[in-house]
This record gives sequence, structure tokens and C-alpha cells, in this order.
Amino acid sequence: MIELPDQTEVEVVEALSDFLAKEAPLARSLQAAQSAIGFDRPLIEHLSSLGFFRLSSSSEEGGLGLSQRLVGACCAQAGRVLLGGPWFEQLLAARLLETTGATGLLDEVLPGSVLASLPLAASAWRNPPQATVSGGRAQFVSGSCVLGFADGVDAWLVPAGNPVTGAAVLVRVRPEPARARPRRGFSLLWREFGVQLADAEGDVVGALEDGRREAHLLDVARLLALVSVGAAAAVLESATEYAKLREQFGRPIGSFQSLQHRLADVFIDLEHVKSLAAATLDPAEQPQLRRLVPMAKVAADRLAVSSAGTALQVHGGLGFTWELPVHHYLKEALRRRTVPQQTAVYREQLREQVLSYNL
Amino acid sequence: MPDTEFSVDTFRQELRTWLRRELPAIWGTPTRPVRPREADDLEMRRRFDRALYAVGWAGLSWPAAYGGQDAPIDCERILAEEATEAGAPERYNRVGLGIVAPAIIGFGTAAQKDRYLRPILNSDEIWCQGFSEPNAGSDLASLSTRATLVDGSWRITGQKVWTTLSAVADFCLLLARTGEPASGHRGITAFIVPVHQAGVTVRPIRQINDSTEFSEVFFDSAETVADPVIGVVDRGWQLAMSVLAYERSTNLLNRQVRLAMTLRALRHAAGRYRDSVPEPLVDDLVDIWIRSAALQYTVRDHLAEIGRGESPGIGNNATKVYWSETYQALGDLALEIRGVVPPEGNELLDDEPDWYDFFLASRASSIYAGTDEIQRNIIAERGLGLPRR
Repeated sequence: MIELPDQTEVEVVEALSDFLAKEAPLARSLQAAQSAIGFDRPLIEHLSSLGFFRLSSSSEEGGLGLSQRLVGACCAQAGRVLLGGPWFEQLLAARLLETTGATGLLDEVLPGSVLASLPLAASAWRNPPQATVSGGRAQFVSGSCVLGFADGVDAWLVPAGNPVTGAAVLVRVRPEPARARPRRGFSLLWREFGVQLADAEGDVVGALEDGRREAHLLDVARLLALVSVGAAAAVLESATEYAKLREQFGRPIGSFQSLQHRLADVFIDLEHVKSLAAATLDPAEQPQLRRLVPMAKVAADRLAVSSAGTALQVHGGLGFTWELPVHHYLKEALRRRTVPQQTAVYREQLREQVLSYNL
Repeated sequence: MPDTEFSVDTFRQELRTWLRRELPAIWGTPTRPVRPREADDLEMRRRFDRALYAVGWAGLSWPAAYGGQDAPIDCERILAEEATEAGAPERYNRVGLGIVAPAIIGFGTAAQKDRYLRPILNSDEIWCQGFSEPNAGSDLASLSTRATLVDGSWRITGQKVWTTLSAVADFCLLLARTGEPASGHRGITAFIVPVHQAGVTVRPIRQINDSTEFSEVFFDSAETVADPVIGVVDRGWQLAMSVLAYERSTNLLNRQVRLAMTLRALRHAAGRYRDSVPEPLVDDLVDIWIRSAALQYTVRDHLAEIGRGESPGIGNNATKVYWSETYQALGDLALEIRGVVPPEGNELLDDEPDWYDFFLASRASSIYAGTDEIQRNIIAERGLGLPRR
């Protein structure tokens, strides 16, 4: 679905697609979400052993040296099945650790011997909890953050700001379930925990300059855009298949033009948003990320919500029930729309940029 | 023809230098246009086509045997980007280049290739395309213009409509019925018909933007050229579908690049008078900006597929709809912004392009080359596999 540079990468995506269809169908993710830790830890470890978190890492780092576009294509595959568990956090942790040069922890995260969770919200990175740092140890003074998976992981990776200098570092905190309180969110797959950090201690993993934090947030946003693209493709397929089978007035409802055109509109949007989202990962486009990522995020969020909405309508009364998975696609789309910050904030950024063009 | 061998690596820079040197005298630049309206406009375009031919870039991705460079398809993207950026006009012979040449290359005989391809490339012979009819627009396969054999040569009788460039064309690539009246897509043949002859009458159509770009063309026992059939008699439908698909991808490239440039002009004007532009219009501008970027990368991905020898297929149908909707939204928004900026801003906006004309012309885009509704039908049936109505 995502245009890829060579046949090897196409095959990697196909292999992942087969694996996810077999090992991680949505029903299984939903079941795992009901468990004590809220996800299927062996599955995430299995994904790690397949190399999911080190696809684009260089070979010196134990990675496979494949393209960033491929990482995006794999995120889209995860989006198709609404893959549960902290896979996205683990992936982002690996990518962040690579750029901070924290090789020790990276060596454990890449193969999945350490599962990490980290806050995805932009606010946590722009106004991090405060901590005093000395001798490689950080002592949090105040603050909290929201983690998707606080339990069942081996490390909380939390940004911390120096109360005096404002300089930020990345801190590895040992998970303490007592600090985490579940919050009510949209998603049944991605639990939210409010984590109190006051008095917590941790090891400093690396420095986090402003630029690095913003780059990390762009990385979160662009990969989420790819997740949305995959989810939209899946929901379009399921609505299309249903429209072929469901009969009213003695014929499949998919033969009615009003419905055909609604589905065609999703196809048209998907065809274009996927190219835009994938372009955010191209080396040549990196100088333009400040413009491209907000564009991709806004477009992908809108596509994910509208495609799920169309699918819900096509499924008729059944779409409004718990019997079919369509509603999960809608709910996950609504969650992603708030991460790492509400889509409207990106729109606001684009407003300023669109007016700053000189011939 | 250039003395040196064609090189992809240096192409963009060479092209840029060449455009800077050649273009202003022929056509002007975005900030210094010298172009006049309609009649002279075409002659100036022809001069630009010929200059491009002389330097060897008229048919970059064409086979070398027919005057091309055998260059990767991506070079066509570079040409479209750079030429548009420099303010170059649309290619005069765009129907010849976009529709007729692919038909002849794909379906024609060796003699037809030798006879027709080079004059298309250097714009010595201008072509139009006779597909749509008053009663065969979306339902193209029901066309009724008739071709009959009279003393061993084909004669054409009937009417075509929305025929771009027919007023200036030398030849028409025409679809006519050769089978039974009700033979549908199975009884259609593609012909080469000279336009300058007694049996052909071209009547310009006055369009909503007061242009006469499209005409209606009447054929009254019109003569055809010797060896006039491209491909096989009664099999013209396959040819038409194949060249329309090809044309969509090459044309969409030019259209996308042109749209992006026009959008920049509007952003420039809106930004300069930002205090006068209400927020809802800025939001609309953002939406169109996003769509324009999405178009750019989608066209690039489609070209990559063509470069690998694959076809974007239904993806092109999707892009046609996405482009026409974006184009129309841009035209609409430009008039809104023109309405709120102060008079000195209007001058800036009127400079290039003429926004009123831009908006009106955009209304044709969801109708020609297969209406957006037909595109959606095709996407539903062939892309999604939904049952036929």
C-alpha cells in the first residue's frame, strides 16, 4: 500500500502483514486489553525478536538498515489490525534512544529485552516534569505525565527539566504501579495512566535539547499518521466487503450508486493521504518536516475519522453495535487525533505558515 | 539536437539555465509576463514547443527512435516542475503529445509512427481529439459518428463536441462507429482525419469564461488520410481506454505542478494582506495547501510506479477527482480572498493568473476527461470490486 523503494522491503511488509493477521488480530488485542497489564507481552516480545523495532537502525546498532519509509509502512500494517500494547511506545523509545546516543539502553530496547513506555503527549516534552540531576541520577521534584502502558513494562522513559537551567534530560524510571492511576479515555486498547513522579528517582539516559524534543514529537506525529492510513485502509476494505454481501431490495447494497460513491470518496482520500504521510519519512523531505508533518497529521486524522464514520454508516444498524469492530476504528481514530497534541494545534501552526510565502 | 549525451544528473540544472535564457523572449516570466491573449498566445506556445524540441527535451521519456531521449519518466516531472516554475506555457500540442502519440506508439504501424510522431514532437502538426459527442459524453461507448467505406476509403459523418484545439488543429484522432449502431464498445474504430477539408466544419463554443477553447466539429462525409486506422477496425475502444489512462497520468503531473504554482501566488497575496483576510478563509487556504502537497507526493508515487513498468491504474482515477476538487476549491477561494483584500491587493491578485477566469475555467475540470461521477463509478467497480448497478 505504501510505495517502497525495493522488493526486499515489499516482502518485509508482506511478512509482517501475514504475522499480524495470524498472531495479532483485533479480537486478540481486545482480549489482552482486559488482562491485568492490559496487553499481550509475549506478542510484543515476539515482534521484537522479528526485528520490528530495529528495521531502520543502522547495522552498527544491530539494526537492519532498511528505509524510514519501510518503518512507516509497518506502522500502517499495525494500524490495519489496531495492534494493541506498547509497540508504538517501544518503537518511539528505540528511535529516540538512537538520536540521544544512549547505546546501553538501546541495546536492550532494540531486541525487546527491555520494554519501555514513554509519554506521547507534546506537553510532557515541552514542559517536562522537574528533576534535580546529579551524578547520572535524577530526582523528580514535582510533576506527572500520562503513559499508555504503565504496568507490565520494564522502563518508564520520562523527560525531566532542570528547575534552574531548564535543560532537559531523558530519565529511565523503574516502574512503580502505585504511582500510576488509570484514566478514562476513548480507547479500549490503549489504556491511559496518570503517573505521579514527585520524589521518584531514575537514571539519566541522555540529554534532550529543545530541537531533539521537537524532532521526537514530529516523529510521533508522522508515524501516527501512517497508523491512521493503515486503519483507514482496513476499515474501507471491511465496509466494501460488507456492501458486497448485505442485500436489501433484492440486491447487494454495494450496487447502489450513493453507497459506491461514498466508498469511492474514502478510496480517493486514502490514495492521497498515504502518499503525503509516507513522504514525511523521505530523506529528501526532511528540511520541510515542520510543514509536512502537521499537514500529514491533519489529513490522516481526518481520513481516519471520516473513513470509520463512512464504514459505520455502510454497516447500518450493525455498525452501531459491539458485534462488529468498526466502532474500535472510530474510537482509536479519535484517540490518535489528540496525540501528541490535538489536530487543531497543527492546523493553527499551518495557518501561520501558509501566510508566510514570498514570491 | 544537443551535441552531448543526455544526463539525468545534470538535467535539472541544464534545464533551469536554458529556461532562464530562452523563455523570457518567447513568453516572459512569472513576474514579467509578455504574453498576449488567445490568438497570439497559441503561436507563442508553438515557438516554445519548438525551442524545447530543438534542444532535445520535447519527448524526454519517448523512445529515441521517434525523437525522444529514452530518459526515465521522472525527468518529465523535473521538466514540468522547472518549466512551470519559470512560468512557461502549457505545451501547445498537448493533445498530440498526451493522447495521439501514445496511441500511435502503442497501436500504430511502423509507417504511421514514421509519418506522424516527429511532427507532433516539434509541433509542426497540431492535433485534436474527437471523442465526446452531444449524446455520448459520460457514455462514450454509445457514440454514433459513423465511418463508412466508400470506394475503398473511409468517410466520416457525424458530430463531435468539446474538441480542444480543433480550430487550429491539422489532424483529429477520431473515434467513429464502424460496427452495428448498437454495437457499443465493440464496434468503434480510431481514425486519423485531416481537419482542413471541405467535409469538416469547426464551430467554436462560447464557454462560461468567454473563451472558445472547446469547439463542436461537424463531419459531412469527411475524408480520412491514406492508411487512416490506428490499430484494428472495431477495436478502437481498447485504444481509447489505454491512451486515456496514460494521458491521465502525464496530464495530472502538469496539472498538479501548475496548481501548486497558482496556490503559491495566492498564498503570497493573502500573506501580504493578512490583516484583511478573515480566519475562515485562512483555514480554507490551509486545507487547499494540504491537498496540493498530497497531490504532489501522490503524482510522484504514481510516476515511480510507471518508472517500474507498473500502472497506477485506479490511483489515477482517484487523482483526477482529487485534483479537480482542489482546483475548483482554489478558484473559489481566490475570488473570496480577492473580495477582502484592499484595492492594491487586488492588483497583486489580478497580476497572474486572472483569478476570475481561473475559477470559471476550473468548473470544466470535473466534467472533462471523464466526469468525477464516472471516475467514482470506475473506482467503485474496478478499484473496490463493488457490483455493477
